[in-house]
Amino acid sequence: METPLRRLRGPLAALAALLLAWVLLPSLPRLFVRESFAEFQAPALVALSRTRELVRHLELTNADRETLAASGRDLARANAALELRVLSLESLASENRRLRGMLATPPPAEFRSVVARVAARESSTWWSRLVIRRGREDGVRLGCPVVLGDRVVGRVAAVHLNTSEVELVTSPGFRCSAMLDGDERRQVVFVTGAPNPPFVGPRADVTHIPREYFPPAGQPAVVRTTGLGGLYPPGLRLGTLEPVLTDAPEGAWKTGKMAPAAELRNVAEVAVLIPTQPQPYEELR
Amino acid sequence: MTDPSPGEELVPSGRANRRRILQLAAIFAGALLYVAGGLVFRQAVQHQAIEDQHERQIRHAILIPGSRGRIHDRNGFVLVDNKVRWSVTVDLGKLRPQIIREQRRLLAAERSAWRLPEAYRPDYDRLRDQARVNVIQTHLDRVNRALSTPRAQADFRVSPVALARHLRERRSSPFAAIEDLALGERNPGERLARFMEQLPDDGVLALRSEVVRDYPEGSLACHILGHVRPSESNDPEAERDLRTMLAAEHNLGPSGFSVRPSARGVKGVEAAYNRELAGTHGYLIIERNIAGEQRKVLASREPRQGAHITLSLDRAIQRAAERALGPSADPNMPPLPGSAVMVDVATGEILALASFPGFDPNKMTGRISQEDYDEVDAAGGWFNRATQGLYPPGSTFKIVTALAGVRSGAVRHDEVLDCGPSLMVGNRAFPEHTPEGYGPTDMEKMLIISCNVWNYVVGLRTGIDRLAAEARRLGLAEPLLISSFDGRPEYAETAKGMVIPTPEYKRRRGAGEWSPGDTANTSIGQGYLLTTPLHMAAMMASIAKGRTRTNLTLIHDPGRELTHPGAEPLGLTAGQRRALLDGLTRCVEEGTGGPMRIAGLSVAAKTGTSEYFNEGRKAHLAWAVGFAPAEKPRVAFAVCIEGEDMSSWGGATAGPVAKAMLEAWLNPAGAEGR
Repeated sequence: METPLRRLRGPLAALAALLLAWVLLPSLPRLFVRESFAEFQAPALVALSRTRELVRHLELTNADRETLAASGRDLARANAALELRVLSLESLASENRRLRGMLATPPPAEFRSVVARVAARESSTWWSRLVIRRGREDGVRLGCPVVLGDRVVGRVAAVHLNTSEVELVTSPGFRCSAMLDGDERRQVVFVTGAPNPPFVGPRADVTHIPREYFPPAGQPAVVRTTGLGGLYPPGLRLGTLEPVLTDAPEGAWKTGKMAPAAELRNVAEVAVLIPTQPQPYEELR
Repeated sequence: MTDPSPGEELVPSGRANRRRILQLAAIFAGALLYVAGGLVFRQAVQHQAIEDQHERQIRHAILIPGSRGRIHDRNGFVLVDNKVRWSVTVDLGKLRPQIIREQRRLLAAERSAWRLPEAYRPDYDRLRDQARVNVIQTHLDRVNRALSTPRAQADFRVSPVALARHLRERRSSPFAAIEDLALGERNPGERLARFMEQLPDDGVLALRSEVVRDYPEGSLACHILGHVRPSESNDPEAERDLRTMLAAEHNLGPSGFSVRPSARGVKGVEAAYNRELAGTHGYLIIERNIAGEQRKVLASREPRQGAHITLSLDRAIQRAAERALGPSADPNMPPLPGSAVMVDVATGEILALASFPGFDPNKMTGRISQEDYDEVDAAGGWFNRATQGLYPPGSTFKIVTALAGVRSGAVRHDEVLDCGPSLMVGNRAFPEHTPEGYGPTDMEKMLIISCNVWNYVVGLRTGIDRLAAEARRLGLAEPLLISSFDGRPEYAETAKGMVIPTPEYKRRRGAGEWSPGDTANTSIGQGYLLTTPLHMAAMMASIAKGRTRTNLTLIHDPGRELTHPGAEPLGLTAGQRRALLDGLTRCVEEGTGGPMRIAGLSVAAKTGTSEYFNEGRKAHLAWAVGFAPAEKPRVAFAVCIEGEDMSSWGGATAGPVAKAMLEAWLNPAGAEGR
């Protein structure tokens, strides 16, 4: 009589062979399989995301006229305020160009932005990754900063044809140089993502804070991008530094925790900042 | 053994079974009792010991050295500070597979290039070293790519020598492939930012930071400032006391400590004031989990920075002295080794103490590379010529001969001696500078023209004992730079072998009996006489204020009480002092000290050109000593330059260095701006 183990011998052997092939397969086919999986999965993710949007759209179309009128009024006001701000920024930009010309300083890196809807987010990687509905076809490149207004959400970690994976500020792989509000010497500190335990708000680490630095009294210190690394424009808000700073093991620094500036719990739409010039990060990755 | 017959019972009877069960129960009960007893013993009797042991295992103390204090010049300019140095390390363990692949590639390339047979046995060590360098360089190329901007290209290369030393001495730790990432960068933040953002974290390259000593002025005053070296402990005594205290208070075992690296002064003021500069250790007492990771901090104390020290040096004068001594002094002439000292006459504070050649202490803060060490060593840069250089003082000693002569009554200050072209002493003619001789010469004229014959005569009249006594009275053989507060050396690199010769000294050397010729030689600062430029500067400061000794110091302290044990008035009459001052002043105005002439400043000085052997060849030592202003002296100086042949002269070679120092003293802002 054939035992169950003997009956399963064939499938088990096939599974073992598959596993062995997976381990032994060179990295190129493996990368191809992984990339193909992402591309196959992408339409499903996009469809799911569009369905969610449709549901939301239907919800909104049912809103009463008064609500719509109030929303329209608010938007008009916001638009007027933004137009004023654009004028003031244009004047600042022209002054900046004039000063740079006088000092013969090279112009800062320029970026164009692409707005992207969030396609998917997995619960297991909630604080470290999300997928957006923009990819290679839209000009998205590796390492591009992803922002929400002037707040950094993360950076592009993988690019597919029509989707991209974004590594969030709180992801352990995230690295960025930063400056702290209130630091008169404008020293560079580092922001790195960290593993986030469950049931606690997401946090990133801020390291190499000078020992002589003390956060400004009465308000949390804002952590901003330096613009020196070439990947992020200067002045974007990464987060706010928590007041408790601890001595780093090297003794020369303090370290602290940073709450991300962008509301990462519920991100629906982001902007990808694509540099006009290619960055070394793309080929060094 | 036979099989049991049919019907015979194979299982034991109920009684036997019960007995066996009881035996088994007894064994189990005994074992249980043993375990329980053990538990009770451990819980009740050994409780404290186990708890102590547990605490010792999980508790750990991290000793954090305080950062070293700063060193300023007398005007508050920072001469020594601390800075953060960023290095890039490579984890060689993670590169092992790549290195093996590269080694195979190199071997294959070598075989195919030289058409070598398969049996060929190559030098595997050489191939492995080359493979290591190649692989690390590929990673450094990535760093270079990440750091390069259109404005500045980064080009970091692997140093095979540094790699070989690392593998020999510190194989287990990551290799610092780039020792200073921000070296020479105006904005180091940009490099750090680019490293963090442009270079993906692959686990091989890591950015490390450490606090190192920074000498912002480079080699300025390097011999005085000294340098530091990485050390396990910057103050072993204080660290030992702290360990004992923490072990008792927090129940720590001998292995329960780790110490963060620090730096220890090994030369100059860094070494002499190491304890003050080192600061106070702080500590963290932590509790660790089984993996050795920190769980919580039980106690802590902040480390305290060491004391700041204000030196008596004046940056402007020091810089002027070093520029005048160094290559920029005269672009057409190769720089000569030498030294220069300037002293504040009233306080004895050293305003400048320069020795050329020197070294850049910034290169010594980490592990000194053999190339750097050899380069400084070959040039003689470690040697502080101002404090350690022992030289015959030559004609500058004629001031001492004159003082001994007039004070002992051997000669009057206005007595005119007939000085011919030479003086016969015994059967040897001691020559004058000129074949004609100087004719009638008094003390004042002697100082202007540096007449030898006057000194031979006065020296012989005075006698070697009184000549030597006068030199000793002026402190030419005394140890210098001893703190007046606690009697410890302010600076350790000073000469010990100054010589003021006497008949006894000559006998001790086994050179025979003292002769009048020896006295004649000594009277013009030659023969066995040896002293340092620092001693000559101290002597001139003493003469300037009419005393015999000046307590030199490197520490600036406006509230200092000006005393010197052994100091007494110089003991000159008004006429003698007048003649001395006039002679020295006219030496600059119309004599050999012409190159020291400065409009609007009366300088009193004496030049000297003594003979010595430079690598077996007879050569000139160029001297210039003096003080200014002549009437109300405020600074005294001494310059000594080692000529490489007989073409160097006191006034012409050493004079411009003295002049540069005096000009910087008169106009510090101008000197700083140059």
